[in-house]
Amino acid sequence: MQPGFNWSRYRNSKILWLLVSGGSLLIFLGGPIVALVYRSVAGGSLGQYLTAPAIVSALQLSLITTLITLALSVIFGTPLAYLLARFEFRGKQLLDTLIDLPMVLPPAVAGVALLITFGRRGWLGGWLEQQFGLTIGFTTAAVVLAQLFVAAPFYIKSAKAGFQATDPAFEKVSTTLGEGGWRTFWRITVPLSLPSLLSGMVMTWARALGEFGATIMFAGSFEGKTQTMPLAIYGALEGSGGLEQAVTLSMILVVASFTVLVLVKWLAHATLIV
Amino acid sequence: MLKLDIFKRFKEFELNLQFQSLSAHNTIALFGPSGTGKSLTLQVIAGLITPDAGQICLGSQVMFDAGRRINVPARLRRVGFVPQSYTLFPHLSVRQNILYGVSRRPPARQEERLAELLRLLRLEGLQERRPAQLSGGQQQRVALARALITEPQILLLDEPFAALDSIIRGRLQEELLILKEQLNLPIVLVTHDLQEAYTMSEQIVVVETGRAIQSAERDEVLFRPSSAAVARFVATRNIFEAEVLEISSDTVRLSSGKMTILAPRPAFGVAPGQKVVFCIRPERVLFTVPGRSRERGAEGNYLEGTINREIAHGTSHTVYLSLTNPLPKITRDTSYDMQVELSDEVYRRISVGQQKSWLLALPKEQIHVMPA
Repeated sequence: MQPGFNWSRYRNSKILWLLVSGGSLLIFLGGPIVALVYRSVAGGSLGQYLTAPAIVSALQLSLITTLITLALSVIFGTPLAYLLARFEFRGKQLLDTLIDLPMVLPPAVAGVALLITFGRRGWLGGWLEQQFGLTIGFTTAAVVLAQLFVAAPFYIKSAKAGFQATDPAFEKVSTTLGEGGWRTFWRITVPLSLPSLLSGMVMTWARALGEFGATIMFAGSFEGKTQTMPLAIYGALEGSGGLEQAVTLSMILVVASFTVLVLVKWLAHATLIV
Repeated sequence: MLKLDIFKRFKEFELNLQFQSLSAHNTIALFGPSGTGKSLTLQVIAGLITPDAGQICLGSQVMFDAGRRINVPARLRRVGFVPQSYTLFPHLSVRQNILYGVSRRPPARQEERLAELLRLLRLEGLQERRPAQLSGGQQQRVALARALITEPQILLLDEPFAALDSIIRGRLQEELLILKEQLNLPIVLVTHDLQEAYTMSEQIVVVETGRAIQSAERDEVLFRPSSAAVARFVATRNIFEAEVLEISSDTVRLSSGKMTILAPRPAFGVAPGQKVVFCIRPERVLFTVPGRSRERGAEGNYLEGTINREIAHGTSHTVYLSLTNPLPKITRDTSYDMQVELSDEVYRRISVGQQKSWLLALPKEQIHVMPA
């Protein structure tokens, strides 16, 4: 407490009520996180279970699938974001809303939608199985598709905002200096909107990492194949690993999420790398 | 040599512009009020906007021809485009900005040109700065260097001095004039400032709502505007309606209000009874001193007037007068009949401030007749 902090000033004032109500919510929000950290570190479960085979394979699977999801989001999302930022066309508002939809849709709904499209009896899934003998449902590919469906919009939205904030005049000048569209994009547009692109990537990755609902409906929970970290947490609670294993996995995700938040906030401030 | 004949329809605006440079290496000012399509025209020349119809020729090269389906892309046009706010790339240093357009040339040649331009534009020592760390004048010079390093065949400057405050504007205009002589490049610059248009260029194209209403040498535009609209844009102020009374070999006699005015015979054909417009610049109207012989050249164009308002500018004075027999003005502004611009020296010598009633002389050679 600061020296000279005078409680009497706050007595009978609105500040006191703000402190009480705000403080209780803070305890509610922070408490579980503190409990998780305490249990995993002080309880020793972190060291004990970190190398358990189920945890290692879940960790591996999560890393691989989320990185593929991220790559696909960037490769296919960037042109779309640029299109939405730079051009006016009919139905743009509708397209914009459609892209936002997976962000507000309950993941379970996303799972059902994916199942009836790419599942064995789905529109595309049935055709793929007939023609090529390819099955998507309940494979690692399904994990990636589920993540892509719910997470890609975060990157698209952020990239679009970044491109919109980049004055097209810079691109125009670049063209008159002899640089074509592609080189202009890499030399001007990307560096100038880099903070938005990076924070979009971080958010997409974080959303993919936490994906649970759509994955369990569309890909199931098979260890080493479709059981990513959130699914492993759920599985551990029900299965042999028990609570301690779930705590360990949760702790890893807490650290990852915290890092993501710090990164996003830092990127938001670093408007330009000067 | 630039030749332009373009048509482009925008949402609420049409660009329908024709002009060509009068000589190979002169500077053309696109002059007119804001929002008339001057900057758009510059972007059309640069290839950033594609017209719906017309042609653009630069030197012997056809840059655009709608009829022949020719449209050289912006990156191949070799134009040095300097936008209004300079648009330096904020993530690159001065050096990287200048070298931007020549990054694929041999490094030794890049360095050579860079050193040359840094010297020419007095940017030595600033190579590693970011654009945000430069003054407005320095930013302008970096933008010029960035454009010049690509060896453009024409330089396009959009409001080159608009982003600068008036104190350094004058100095930078002088600098650019000197640079112009050294470069020997055709330049097109956009401005809404008459003084800037006149100082910086040999040719002025007056633009009004997407049309070029006069394209001529700067003195022609300033002293012999082709229409009342141009006369208004070049601040002629004293523009009146009249009717032709009589025509001789070099003189026309006009009737305007209750007065008769003698003027040089205009280049276009006139006939007695024809309605015309005439004008005289405020600097060309003379105050006559009572008792002294009448001003030479006025040839009977004398008007009695009373001063009703004065504005002092320090080195000059603007004097507004009401005339005993007012001439019909083309504008509806009735607060004065005649505006006169006097140098401070003349103002003091003949003590204009001492007396309200004056006899004004309108020298015949200074009157310019235009079609109505």
